[in-house]
Amino acid sequence: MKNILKVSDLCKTYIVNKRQNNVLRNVSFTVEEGEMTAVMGPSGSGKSTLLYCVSGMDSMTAGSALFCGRNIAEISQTELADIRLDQMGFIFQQMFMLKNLTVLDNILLPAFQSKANTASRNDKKEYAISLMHRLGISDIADNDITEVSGGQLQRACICRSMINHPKMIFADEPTGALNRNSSDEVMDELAKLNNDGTTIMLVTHDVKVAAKCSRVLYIVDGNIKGEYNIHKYTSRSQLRERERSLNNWLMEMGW
Amino acid sequence: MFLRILKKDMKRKKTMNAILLIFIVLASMFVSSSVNNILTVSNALDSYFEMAGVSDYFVAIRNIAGSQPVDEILDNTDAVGSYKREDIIYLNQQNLSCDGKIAKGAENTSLLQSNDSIKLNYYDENNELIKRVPEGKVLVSGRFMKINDLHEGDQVTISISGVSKTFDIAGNFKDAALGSDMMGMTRFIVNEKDYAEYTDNNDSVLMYSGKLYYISTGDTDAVEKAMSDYGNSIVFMGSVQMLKMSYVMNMIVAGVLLVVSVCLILIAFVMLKFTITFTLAEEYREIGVMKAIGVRNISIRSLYMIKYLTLSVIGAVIGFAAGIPFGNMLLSSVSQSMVMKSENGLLVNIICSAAVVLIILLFCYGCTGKVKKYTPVDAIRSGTTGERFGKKGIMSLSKSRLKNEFFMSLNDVLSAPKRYAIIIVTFSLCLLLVLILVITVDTLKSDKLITLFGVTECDVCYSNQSMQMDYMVENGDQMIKDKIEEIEQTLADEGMPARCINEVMFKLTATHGDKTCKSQTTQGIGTTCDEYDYAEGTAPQNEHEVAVTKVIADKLNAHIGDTIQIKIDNKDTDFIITGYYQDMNNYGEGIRLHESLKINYLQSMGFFPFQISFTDNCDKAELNNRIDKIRELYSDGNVSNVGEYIDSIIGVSDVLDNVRILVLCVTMIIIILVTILMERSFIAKERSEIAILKAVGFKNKSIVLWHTLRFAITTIISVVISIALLIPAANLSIGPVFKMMGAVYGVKYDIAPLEVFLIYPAAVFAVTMISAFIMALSTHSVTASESSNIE
Repeated sequence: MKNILKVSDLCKTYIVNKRQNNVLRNVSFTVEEGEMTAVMGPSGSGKSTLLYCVSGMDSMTAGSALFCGRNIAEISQTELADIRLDQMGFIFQQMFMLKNLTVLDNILLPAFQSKANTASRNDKKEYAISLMHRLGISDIADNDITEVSGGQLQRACICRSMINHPKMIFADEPTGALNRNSSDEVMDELAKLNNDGTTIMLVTHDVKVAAKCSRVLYIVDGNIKGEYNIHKYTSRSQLRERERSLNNWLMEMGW
Repeated sequence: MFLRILKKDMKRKKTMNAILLIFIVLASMFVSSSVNNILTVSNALDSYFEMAGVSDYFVAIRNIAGSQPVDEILDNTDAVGSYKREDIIYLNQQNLSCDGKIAKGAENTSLLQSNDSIKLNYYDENNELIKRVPEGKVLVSGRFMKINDLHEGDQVTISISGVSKTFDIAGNFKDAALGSDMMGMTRFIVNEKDYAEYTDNNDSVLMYSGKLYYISTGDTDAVEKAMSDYGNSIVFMGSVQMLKMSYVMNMIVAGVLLVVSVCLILIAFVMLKFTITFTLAEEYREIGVMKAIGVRNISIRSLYMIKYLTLSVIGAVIGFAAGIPFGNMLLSSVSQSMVMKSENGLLVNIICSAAVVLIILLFCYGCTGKVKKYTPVDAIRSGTTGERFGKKGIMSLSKSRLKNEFFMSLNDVLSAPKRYAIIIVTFSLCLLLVLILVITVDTLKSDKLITLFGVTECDVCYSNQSMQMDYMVENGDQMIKDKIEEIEQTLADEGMPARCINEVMFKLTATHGDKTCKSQTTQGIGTTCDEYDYAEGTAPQNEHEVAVTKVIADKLNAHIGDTIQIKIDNKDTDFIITGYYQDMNNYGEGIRLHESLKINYLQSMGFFPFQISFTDNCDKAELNNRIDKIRELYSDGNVSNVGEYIDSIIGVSDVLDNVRILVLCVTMIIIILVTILMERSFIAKERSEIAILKAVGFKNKSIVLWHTLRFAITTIISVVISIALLIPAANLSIGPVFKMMGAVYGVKYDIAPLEVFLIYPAAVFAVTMISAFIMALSTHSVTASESSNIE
């Protein structure tokens, strides 16, 4: 399989009160096309920072992150915005959306902004509705975002991240603000997307969430301490076994 | 601990605190200077007239041999308590010269007076009482020095009946009775020895001499009636109220400043309230956390109270200091023509600044009431307490064809109109103020306004007062006709085919029943009555018919169709009123006689300029060339275009022009401040939205465009509102002033489309856009990664 993301010697340092704080230290890993990778680790280990650095949302202090062969660190902010718009999708813990737009409009916004997405406005709208249908939220298309549940809103965020057919989706604790049922539903949808060929990299604290991924990177103090690989998640019946196996591995890692 | 929190808050929220401080400074500055100005201006005219000693009734006469002395009439009138008399010599433009050239700005009558005949109190530019003028020096009132670009120490030559003397100008002085711009009379005060050189052994100067009477009375009607029988040597008479009314244009300036000041105060307080409310709303988390750890409401509120007390005291002190020069600057245009004494000005400023501190604290106390509503849950749930977002938008992106940035801007404005109302109201108010001044100044300078002075439209005005005074003889009408013919012939010979007319003024007594009044009466030569504008009724058709102004009709209690008597050649003659017209010449008083009426011109009291209208429809450039040519042909007199002529009558358009610039500057400052404040608050409130948009791939320029376009939309709405409200607002604010001047039926405002619909709105739009764009650039500092940790 082809590498979609290749991270080499990535360092990220913050200066806090004139003291250097090395959040990421020479992190190197690759993500192959079609993979679903989870990043786990204790609080403050640098998981989210890693996600934002490799997706170009935050700068790196040193090292490189090749996304589709191009070093994110060397790309201008304007070009990075285009890459985020057309080739990446983002899902966050908080389901931020524009308050004055309906659910459908929020999903459509990046599509209408994209110049690379050459489909007509109507086609884009139809695709947005089909995505919503796929994620089971087509009935809330014209709803105000205050009128829907957190789970529905997070699925709408997934639709938004998918609208421009991204090569890779980055998710920062996508189920962090959801209850167990919503969390399971959202993760099932992400797993389905992954099975359809979308590469996903997510940060999570939740073993149940990570158990649905084919690969888990365990990060401690800015270093990748270990890597856990398992076959792709396809049905719920495997889940218990996957969770148990992952838990054992995490215990070994010091979780 | 409070001090430590306060110190941290000041450091952390530098921009917001700085903006709040600026608004406190502005509020304090505007309130202290404006309240002081309101108190000063509202009492100014009364106190000025009282200081100057102007009595209840004023009469100006020419000395005509054989006339009964006015003193005798006044002595025999019971209603007259006492009176003061000043002996003067009437001057015209030809009597005055500077550097060998005929002086400008003395088209109306001017007066020469000796300092020993001074009966009123006159004040110099520093509001010091004038007691004596040294020999060889002259003090000048009104705009004469300004128009001729003269300064203290320059020279002016006054020549009367063969006596010519050159004086050093000792300065400008304030003349309460005749010194208003609208009255347009210039008074020259010289030493008694210099004055005597004109009068001693010089009988011919007698025909130029006259007297001014200041009469104390409790019954002005009785005095007017007594003087009505006096005869034709009265140049002007009227009550002190009429003299005060001549300051109406200065009061317009003062009024405009008051309106501006009140608007500034309102805007400053609205902004203050917005800033305080916004700051508190932004700090829900801190408040929630404090509550969570058990801090009581009163303690939290006192924390904010201390912060705002500190800010407001600092702001008020700076505002107080800045308010003194600012107030003086606002008043300077008004105080040039009158003595304005601000009693207890400093105390008023201090009280106002203290009031600002108090009001801010009250605002703050009211706003901090919200503290009670915030709960610890707010801090935990990011200030949402279950209600995550506000109201939904009213537009649909999926159904729209607009570009994202424009759609989002429009949708934001339409979805949260309350939020943008503050900008729209502020901008509309600012632009409306400027536009009202623009159309007022344009109207005052407009050629069309001339018809409101009881004459017909024309292209050029030519006056030569000394020559025209020669027509004040029995067969003056024939002499004027001859002169008109001569002018027309001269112009035709020069390739400027034109028609020339002239208006003659009389001061005649009209009676209807038991009502009597002395009114300015005009008769046109070379024209016919039906060429004038009439507000109601028709033009007089024969010598037994007249048109009157509504003011005269009301004074005489007469209506169209009624018969009034006008005393001509000491004989009451009946005239039928056929129509009403408007005349701003004499506060709306006027009677128009039919051109065929034979009248002895010995009774005339003055002449309008010769009005020249070209008959070949020449363009503007050619018109200007012709005016220059006529100036060469008639260098003995004053040649002006219609706008210049009207300006010489009204005389305040340049002052209003300055006020317009001042208001425009203040407006622009307000617009910049409001834009900065609002955009700053928008960015603070929408940080999460900006971050998420960046995270999904929106570029900085799209975000900046989105934010800037919102101001573009609100400014366009403000422009539309301002233009829609322009005429009603002008009618409401400036209309009454024109009405007081005699335009009872209203004025057709001269709206220059380029200025009103393009230049000024574009200036406001440009300033807003530049300010919004610069502020919106700070969205660059919001990063996509903030999406993960935004509260």
